[in-house]
Amino acid sequence: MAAPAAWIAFRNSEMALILLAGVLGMGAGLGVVALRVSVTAIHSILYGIPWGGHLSDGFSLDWWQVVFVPCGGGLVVGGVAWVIKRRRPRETVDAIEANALFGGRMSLTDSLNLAVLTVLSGGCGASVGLEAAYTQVGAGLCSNIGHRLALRRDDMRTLVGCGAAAAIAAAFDAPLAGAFYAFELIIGNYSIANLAPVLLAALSGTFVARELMGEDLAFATSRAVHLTTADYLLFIPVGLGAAGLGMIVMQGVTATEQWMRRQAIPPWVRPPIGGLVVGIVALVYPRVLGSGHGGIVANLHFTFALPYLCGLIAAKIAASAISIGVGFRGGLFSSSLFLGTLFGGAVVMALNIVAPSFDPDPLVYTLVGMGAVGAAIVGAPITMILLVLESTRDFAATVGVTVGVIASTVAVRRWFGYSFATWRFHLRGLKITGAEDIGWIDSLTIGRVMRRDGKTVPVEMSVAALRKAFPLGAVPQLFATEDGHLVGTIDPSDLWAPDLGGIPEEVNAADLMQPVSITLLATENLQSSLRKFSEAKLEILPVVDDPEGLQLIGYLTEAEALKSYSRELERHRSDTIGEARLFSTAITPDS
Amino acid sequence: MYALIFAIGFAAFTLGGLSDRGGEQDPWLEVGALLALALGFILGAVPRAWSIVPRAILPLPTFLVFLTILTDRKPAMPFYAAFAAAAFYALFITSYASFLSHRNRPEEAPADEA
Repeated sequence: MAAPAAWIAFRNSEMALILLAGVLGMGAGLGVVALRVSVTAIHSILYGIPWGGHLSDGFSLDWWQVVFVPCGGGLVVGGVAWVIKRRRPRETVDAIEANALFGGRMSLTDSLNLAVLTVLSGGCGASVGLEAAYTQVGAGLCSNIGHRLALRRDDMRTLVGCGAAAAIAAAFDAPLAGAFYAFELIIGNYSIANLAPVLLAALSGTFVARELMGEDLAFATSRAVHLTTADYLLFIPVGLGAAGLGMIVMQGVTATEQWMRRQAIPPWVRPPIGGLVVGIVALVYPRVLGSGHGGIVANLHFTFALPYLCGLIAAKIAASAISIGVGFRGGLFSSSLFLGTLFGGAVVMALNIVAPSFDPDPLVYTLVGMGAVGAAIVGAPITMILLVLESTRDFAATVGVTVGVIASTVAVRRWFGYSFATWRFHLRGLKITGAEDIGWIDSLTIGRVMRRDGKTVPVEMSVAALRKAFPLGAVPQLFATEDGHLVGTIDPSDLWAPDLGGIPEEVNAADLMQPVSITLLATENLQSSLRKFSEAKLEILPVVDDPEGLQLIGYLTEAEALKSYSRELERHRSDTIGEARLFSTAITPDS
Repeated sequence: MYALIFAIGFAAFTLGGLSDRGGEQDPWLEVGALLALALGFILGAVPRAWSIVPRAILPLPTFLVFLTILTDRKPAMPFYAAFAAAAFYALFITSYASFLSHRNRPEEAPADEA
């Protein structure tokens, strides 16, 4: 049945996408509120934390709560994860992976399962952030609705970004930070075409969260800061130090995760063991429990003593590494912010000892540390700068944070090259360095562009017979076969060569053919075919059914591969920037 | 290098715990204790056979330092719980030093080839 014209008009309408993003942004905001309330309720029940408080606020917790609640919670998380794994054994696709490889396709069920596990993990006190669950639910919801509406690939990717933007915006009451989180991490670029839907979604999410939970500046500061030139210069080494800390955290967390996976401990037993260890760490440093929001606010308003700050940094890194390593679900977003505030505070305390006359402002150094470590680990520098701007509404502090964030980002790019998310993709063997859409490369297979009219000739066929069957210029290539299997290729011009080496009736195909060294498979992508053309230094390569059987099913010319690849690249680029008419070969709605 | 980073982190962890106790404290004693523990850990993690000596000594001071930290915890915890947690820290740090020492140890030739 043909799609109704109204539906086609809707799909092609930019306004429809913008409105849809706004509505789904509200859904994502609701999801964030639901998840946050769930975790607060669990904290209230298990730890007796007053409503609105955070586990890392530094409440006096009894030793048995600190030790046994994370352990018991780990048992529940392990059990639920085991049940989910039995029913849905595949790895959950997150928003970055979905946009990079699958054109924005995510499973809403998997996303909700992950959110449940994250709520249980955060609720029982594991040292993990909830932002991963927020973005997963927001992006999963948008992806699901977008798929049901059969949106185009690029609109799906934008919508996934909208879900993540709304989630982060609602979580931090910061719509610009949410929007740029989507541009930097989820969509992979910023363009005029995706600005409106992403920003509208972020605003919708923020307003829903504000309506339901009240205006809540995540890191509100009570006074303006004053900075000198010396401060700005010092923010550069602070940023470099933050980059070093971020790299240690990323390496430490993934090393712990990999080490735990190598142990012969059943996966469902790991979270309770990890919970027990986190609990023992929390006996000395109770602020390591939970995501760290309370600790961030506390550290912004009064800085801890230097030894305690240093100890808490080590304890938080250990607790985060163990929590994620043993299988608690969650992310490092808020943990990185907490670590950053501790690092900034430690720098101020150290400066007070080394140069007491300098008198640095603890608040701004704490904010610079927060932004710089956050940018190093999360990999979203503009998001961090805007997060500070929106949550403090202090422009001078934001400029200072910008200096630290730039130093940190450049250092991580130079000496590490990954954010936490892309580092984990790298360890899983995925070639994802960001959310840029590379999935189309895999979908553009050789089978889609190869020619199927390849001419096969038996190896014993004489040159005279070949000349009769294939006049000069009739075919670009001949493929010699023996018992139906491809054994070589023949350049048709060789049939007419003056130095044939004998009379045409006695020389046969086997004498002229070049043995097959490189073949293509129909399921391979064009990018790999271009590599093979370059390797083989040939203009035509045969396409076979499988590398063992060598049954010829077609052939591909280098020119055709290059033409198809660049045409797809051009179309993809024009869709990305929202200017389909910019490229002559791009398909436009008017064409 | 890895042992050094871990030792610095462990020293910071211990120092922070010691400094967070209530009552009168002796900063020099605290710094001395954490330097001794960090040095003991680094020497215990050296990939040589003699590193067993610092590893044999390491558990007792670690246990005592953490017992001090945990018995001063607010709100207070029972002594048996503090004892068990301090024992965990002592065993963990010694085991980890041992793990690092053995992981980085050069291959030893079998006795019959020596």
